Amino acid sequence: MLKAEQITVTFGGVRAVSDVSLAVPAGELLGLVGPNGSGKTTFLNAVCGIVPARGSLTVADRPVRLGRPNAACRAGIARVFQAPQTYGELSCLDNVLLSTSDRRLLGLTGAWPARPAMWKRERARWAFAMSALETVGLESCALEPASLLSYGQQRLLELARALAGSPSILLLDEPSAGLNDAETAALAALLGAVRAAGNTLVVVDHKIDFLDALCDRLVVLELGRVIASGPPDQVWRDDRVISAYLGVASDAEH
Amino acid sequence: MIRPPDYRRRHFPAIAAFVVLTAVIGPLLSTSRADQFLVDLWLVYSIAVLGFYLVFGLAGRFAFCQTFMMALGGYTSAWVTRDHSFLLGVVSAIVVTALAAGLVGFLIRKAQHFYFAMATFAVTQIGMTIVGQATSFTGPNGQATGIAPPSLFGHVFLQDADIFWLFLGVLTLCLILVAFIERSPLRREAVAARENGLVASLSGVGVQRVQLVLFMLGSAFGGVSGSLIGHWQGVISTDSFGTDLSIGIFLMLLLGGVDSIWGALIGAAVYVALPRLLSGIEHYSSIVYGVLLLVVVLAVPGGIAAAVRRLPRRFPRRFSRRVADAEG
Ligand SMILES: Nc1ncnc2c1ncn2[C@@H]1O[C@H](COP(=O)(O)OP(=O)(O)O)[C@@H](O)[C@H]1O
Ligand SMILES: [Mg+2]
Repeated sequence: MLKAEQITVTFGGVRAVSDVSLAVPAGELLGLVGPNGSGKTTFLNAVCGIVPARGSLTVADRPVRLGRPNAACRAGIARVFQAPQTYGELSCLDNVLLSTSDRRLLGLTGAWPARPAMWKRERARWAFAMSALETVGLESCALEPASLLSYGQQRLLELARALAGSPSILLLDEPSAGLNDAETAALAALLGAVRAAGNTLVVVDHKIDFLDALCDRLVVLELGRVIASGPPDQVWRDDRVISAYLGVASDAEH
Repeated sequence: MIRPPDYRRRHFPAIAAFVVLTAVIGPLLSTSRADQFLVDLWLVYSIAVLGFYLVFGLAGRFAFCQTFMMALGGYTSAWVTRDHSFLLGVVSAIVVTALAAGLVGFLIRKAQHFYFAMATFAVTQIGMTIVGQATSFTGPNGQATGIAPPSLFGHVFLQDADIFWLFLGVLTLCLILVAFIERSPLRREAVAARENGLVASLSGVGVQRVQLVLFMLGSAFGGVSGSLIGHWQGVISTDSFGTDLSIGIFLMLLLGGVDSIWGALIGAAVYVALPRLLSGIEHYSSIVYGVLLLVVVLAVPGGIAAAVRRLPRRFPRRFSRRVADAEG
């Protein structure tokens, strides 16, 4: 589904991500781990076009231009950020509606001359957005401003927005950060269900139990490079992974 | 079927109430020629500020060129009506200002915040100078004189009391057009583009397109306002649309409230009425505006419209629900 080849991101001489290549087949849930500062977030940023990057990217064998968020969106890449990026003054329903994949009659034509057609499309969009909110369990907050949600709920709202775009691949950055054990378990169940519904996911996380239970495969980054990749139990026995994590063992636990 | 909150607001009943109220109170307020002038001025400024609401309030683009758009609309309409009808003059003003804004907005589509403000300020300075020099287009010394009075379907609007109805009609039309936008997906896309363009574009929102469309539309509102001012007054010069008014437009929206269509109308009313209420101490009017602005910034950040909206919370529930329904 997603194929990234030799993705490199440099920040003023520092290579935050260097020559990272990975392929995520359709339907897989891939875990991306590594110590703090190893370039996980930057890699996700490069894939969704919000930092300039070199390399090549294809989704479903179609090339995606790097550095263009709109191109990434069109290719079916959706993203859930570590710090929730929701629009506080818009209702939860509006937040989800933003990512609708039916992008016709959203402008002046729909607002003025083609109102009946716009209403028809909007009704279908509302229903679809509501079903995305139901998937994450936020349907009762649909009309409330997103600013009233808790931190964990805002992340769920972002997940609903990402799902409502019917993406080909979903990137999540530390979705369990800031959640308690019960919330983390609920999130794991939710991601399992999302994946079972046929979605392809890349999940960055620090909670190892959380990832091990979910993932088919782990990719480990250190200093912007891939140092290991494979099934979780095999990866955690890898010497390079152990030494990469030894120095920062405390980081890995939260 | 669950509808998003923007579609639940009662924009059109509120607009109807506003129009009826203005139609009744407007003539009552206009007991003297000076007061009639101010009421008309309020209506015609409201159109320009409503346009600025689209550009700044909704799309979050601080355009400093609304008065230039007013001037461009005024001169274009004056030039066209030398040989053609009033209606064609207004339509030309709309087309020319929208195209001018489209060109400027496209060239500086990537400029953010302060840079966008500076670039539009520069456009205003350059544009005003060119307009002032293009005497065959404007008139001697950049002054267009003898502009034909508005006339529609054989009726010529000569008196200020007559003009009142024309301006109220145009303002109502503009309010309806804006309310249609408020009740459409364009509103949520504009808010998202304004609040976080990067995340919005990752969701598929055409951030630059949304902002450009609203900039063109808001500028066209400015063009209509300028055109109406020209035909009403019969004469316009570059001084009619000077820096005072540039800041005035900004002040009106900020005073009234940047986050609803009513802010533009309330702010314009305060701005126009203030000198009249302060007669005797006109010399201090800039101080009064300054103090008022500080009060708004410090005490009622959302402007007067937001303060009015918050008021009902202090009253019993039944009343508050009625008010919340009535306002847009
Ligand atoms: N915008 C930026 N400017 C400069 N350096 C950055 C920027 N973003 C990340 N970095 C650097 O890139 C490296 C990787 O960061 P990051 O991708 O956030 O790591 P991770 O998500 O794995 O913890 C770090 O050294 C960080 O300091
Ligand atoms: Mg990170």
